[in-house]
Parts: sequence; structure tokens; C-alpha cells
Amino acid sequence: MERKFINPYWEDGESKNRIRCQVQITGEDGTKKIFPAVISEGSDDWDYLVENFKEEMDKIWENYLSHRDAKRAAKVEQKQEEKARNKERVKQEALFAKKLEIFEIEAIKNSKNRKIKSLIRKSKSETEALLYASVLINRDLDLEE
Amino acid sequence: MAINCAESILDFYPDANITLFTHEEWIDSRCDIFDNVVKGVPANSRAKLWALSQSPYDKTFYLDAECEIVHEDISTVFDTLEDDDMKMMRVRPYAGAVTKFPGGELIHHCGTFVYRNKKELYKFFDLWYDYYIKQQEEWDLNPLMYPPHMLKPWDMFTFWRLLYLEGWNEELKINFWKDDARWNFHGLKEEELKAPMVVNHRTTTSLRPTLLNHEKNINSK
Repeated sequence: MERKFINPYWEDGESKNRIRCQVQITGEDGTKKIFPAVISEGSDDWDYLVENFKEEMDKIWENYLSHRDAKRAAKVEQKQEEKARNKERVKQEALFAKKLEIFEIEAIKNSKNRKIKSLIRKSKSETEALLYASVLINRDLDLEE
Repeated sequence: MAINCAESILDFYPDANITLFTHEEWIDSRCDIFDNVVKGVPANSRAKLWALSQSPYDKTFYLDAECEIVHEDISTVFDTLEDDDMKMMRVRPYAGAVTKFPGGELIHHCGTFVYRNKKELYKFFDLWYDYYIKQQEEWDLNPLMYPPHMLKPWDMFTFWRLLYLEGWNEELKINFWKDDARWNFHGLKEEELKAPMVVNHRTTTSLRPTLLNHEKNINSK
């Protein structure tokens, strides 16, 4: 019966006291079976694995850390972007809500002045929207007189 | 909000024909801007689904009432239909409440879409409404694959179900707009826009009770 270690890696690359790997067993009839294994420091296969695979395992651990750190940084950046986007969206939705409120004012609601209503809709700030609302009301009052 | 939406359409496309589906008690003089006002809409949170097959137009652009038109390209929306039965926006997972579930993934966003007057499509719309009503009353799907707590409220799931579980994706030509973000921009990333935004899909629905929806369509004959 033949035994072979495959894909060994440090369970924890900081403490380096356990190795996870797969063990491939080849039977006398040639059939192969693979089992997961955990090899602890001090156990029978420990020295063999460290002697033959330490460099490879250290590299794997470094790759894992870079990938993990990159993923964390990307997540932080994504959250910051999302926060900025949400802040802007909340601001825009508040402006939209204010405009709808303006359109519910009786004098504005009943006005036929589509041009100024369009300017209210396109306003980039509450101040601008309110100014146009004021202009619209004044114009309509002037027309009534 | 529907009045605001319609007026925003007319700001950029004065020749647009717009139909409003609403309730009698919500009609006032501002509704003069609509070419048609259809009353008698069912009292249901998804009455919009009932309205889709009632459109009087050859081609219809459906919008949720909280949308605002912000660009003149709205007048070209019917050209985007091309040879398809329906054109929609692809769901962006980062902007949606629910997209993936064990049995699949929601990919069609149903906030705005353009469609043609076609018998099979209208049958599909009617089924969409019927299935949605039933979806609220009972859950007949495997709850592990299709968790009701996630999916029950969403008409987007009912749409998905009809396409992929009931086989309607083989009957209809439903595809995505090329620059889809501009036709249904709702909390998306700016870089999604390949051309100027046309439809700004607001999320300000807390201003009005949303038991019932205003519906509107614009046509091109």
C-alpha cells in the first residue's frame, strides 16, 4: 500500500503547529483513495512534511494573506463608496420630496404655468425650487389682477 | 407623484400620449394633462399588473409613478424595443433588496419597461397579476428552493416564476436594453450610465400611502 501527501498547507501560518493536507492511498490493486488529514506538531509525519513542504506551505500562506488583505481593503472601499452614494441619494430624495411638497401647495397645484413648474422640477436645490415657486405664485397673482 | 411623472414626460416630450390608471377619488383637474384616465382599478398594491394589458397603445412604456423623466431621449424609447416583445433593465444585485435565492436569481427589474401590443404578452401580463394575487394568499413552491419569507412580496419573483418555471421565456422575446441603466436609474452607480440618464427612478415612496398605484403609459403610433 502506498501513501502520498497532497496539497499540504498551514492551518494557521502564524503558529505553524498544524498542517492540513490530503492523503492519497494507493491500494495493492492500484485503486486510489483520498482522505483529508490534519497533522499536528510532534506527530509521526510532521518532520517529513515540514522538511519537504515548508517552503511551499509558507508561500501558500503568504498568498492567502495577500488575498485576504486585498479582499478586506476592497470591502472597506466598497462600503465607503456605498456610504457616499447613499448620502448623495438621500440628499436627492430629500430634494425630490421637497419639490413634491411644493407641488401640493394649492396655488402651485392649481397653476397652469407649465414653464415655471418645469423649472421647479429641474431645480438643483431646495432654495432654487422655492424661488421658482415664489416667482410662479407672484406671476399668477399679477395675472389675476 | 403620477402627475409629477407625467408632467416631467411632457417637459421633454410634449407630444407624448399618456394614460393614467387610478381611482375616482384621486382624480382632480390636474388630470387634464392625461389623454386617457382609466378608473375602476382594483384596490391592490400591484394594480399596475392588472393595468398592463389594458394599455390602449401599440407600444407602451410603463413607468412606476415615482419616476421622473430628465432627458429628451424619452422620445426615442419606442425605438429601443426593436424586434422584441419587451425590453427591461437588468437587476443590479448591489441595488436590490433580494436577488439571489437557492432556486435561481432575479434578473429582470420591473420598475420600467417598454412593450408591444401582442396577444401572448398580454396573456402573460394577466397571468402575472393573477399569480401575484395567489402568491400573497398561498405558497405552492418548495420553500427550501424558493423561500417565501424572501420572495413573497415581490412581483419581480412572480415575473421570474412565469418565465422560468412556467416556460414563458420560450414564448416571448423579453430582453434587456443596451444602455439599460439610463431607462431605470434607481440608486445605481454613476459609472453604470453609458449615456445621459432618461428615467430617474426615485425611491421616495414614503410620502404617500401606497395601497394603490397611479399608472401611466406613453405611446408612439
